Amino acid sequence: MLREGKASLRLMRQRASIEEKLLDLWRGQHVYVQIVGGRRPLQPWEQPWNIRSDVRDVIVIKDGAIQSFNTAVPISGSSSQWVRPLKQWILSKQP
Amino acid sequence: MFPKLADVVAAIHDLKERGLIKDYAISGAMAQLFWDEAVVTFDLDVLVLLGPGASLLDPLRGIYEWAAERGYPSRAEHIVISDFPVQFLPAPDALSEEAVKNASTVESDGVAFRVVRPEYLIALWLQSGPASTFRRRERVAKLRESVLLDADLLADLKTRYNF
Repeated sequence: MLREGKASLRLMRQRASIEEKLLDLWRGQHVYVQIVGGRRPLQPWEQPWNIRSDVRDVIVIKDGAIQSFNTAVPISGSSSQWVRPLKQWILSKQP
Repeated sequence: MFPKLADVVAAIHDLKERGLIKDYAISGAMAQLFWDEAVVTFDLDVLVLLGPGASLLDPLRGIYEWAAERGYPSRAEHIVISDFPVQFLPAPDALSEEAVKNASTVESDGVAFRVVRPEYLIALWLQSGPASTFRRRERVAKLRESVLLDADLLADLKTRYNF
């Protein structure tokens, strides 16, 4: 049972997308640095890649609706995109 | 897709357009990631067939000059492109050249990657000499166990390159 579980987990990892595998690799680098770094000084090149910083948070506020999503960009960065609402802004509703 | 990996591919294509390299293929542990599950590595090996203008004594000079011009920092033997430490390795022998020429094109999210095929990875890792470290032999065992290999191609490589 345990053996089957391990095999299917491995199969799942093999069939994962390149993005998921890169994420696994990145997590592995962090684990490696924690474990190996506790035993010996790490080499300068033994650093986890800074490959997750390129997720841009985008918030669009349009016609009173707020949309928030993440999108990948070719360069590192973070920004917000504002779309002017068609209606007048209502900041608080009067009773 | 991590856009930074796409940046690396775009940078390599720029090298190709400028004639600094004729062809390339992702190799090493990063290539293994395309065929099998991910293994920990800290660099991205890229096997290259250099362009005709490459110096015999300093074959990577053109690539390092290109990197400096593009603002990619160099760290030890790596060129850091979008936070990926990339090691460009001029194909040192006939087997490596063949591995690049016969590399597979793997497409993921609209980005096409040239990747050394698993049979060639095994051949490169098993080549006698200092290249055949314990870790590489471990990777070979893993590939043999989990990837459907072309047995005929592997046998042919074994005969021709004697590994």
